[in-house]
Amino acid sequence: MAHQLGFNAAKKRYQRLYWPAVAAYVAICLGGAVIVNKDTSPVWLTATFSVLTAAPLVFMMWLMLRHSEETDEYTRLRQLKAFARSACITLSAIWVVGSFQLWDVVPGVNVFWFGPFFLLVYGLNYCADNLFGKTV
Amino acid sequence: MENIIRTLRAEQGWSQAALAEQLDVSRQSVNAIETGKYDPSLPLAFAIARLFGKSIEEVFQDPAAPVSKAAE
Repeated sequence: MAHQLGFNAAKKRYQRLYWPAVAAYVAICLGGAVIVNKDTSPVWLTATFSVLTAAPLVFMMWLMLRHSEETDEYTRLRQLKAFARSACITLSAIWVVGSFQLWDVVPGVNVFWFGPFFLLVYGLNYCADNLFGKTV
Repeated sequence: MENIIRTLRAEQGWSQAALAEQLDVSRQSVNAIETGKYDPSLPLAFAIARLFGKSIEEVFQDPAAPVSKAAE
């Protein structure tokens, strides 16, 4: 586990890598839209761009966890609570939608969208702690 | 846990952001501690007390603690 650096140092370390990751993600998405054609491109090319698209997102998840470990205790508590809640909600959504798919109630749902769903729920949970209730 | 951080901070003329900067925590942390939404860890409580030149017992009060006879 990374050691605690304090709020300011952790924030700086987080932002130093977060924005390049966002820039890389946008560049890869735009590049993929231009270069890859789902119908005509070879499988190796679409597979490569799939991995390249996911890589910055996976990196950002690791960045979020590292920031939680390095920041001050109250921020870490809020982040981890929001992370746990959003993980539970997202997993519940996956099980519900997955059950529907299992019984062919709904046709294919792109698993990809559970990622943005998780981040949306995480953001809402993080803000909710700011507005409501006693933390400890 | 109750505390007198808001009073001590006002005496020094510090904003929540200024206190947060000195403790290297977020402003939200200071607000949460002042309003009793969050009880700090011992190291942070010591750091707060040290910053104001007081003991932990002077800054933080346990509302469940029995009232001493001297206080009565």
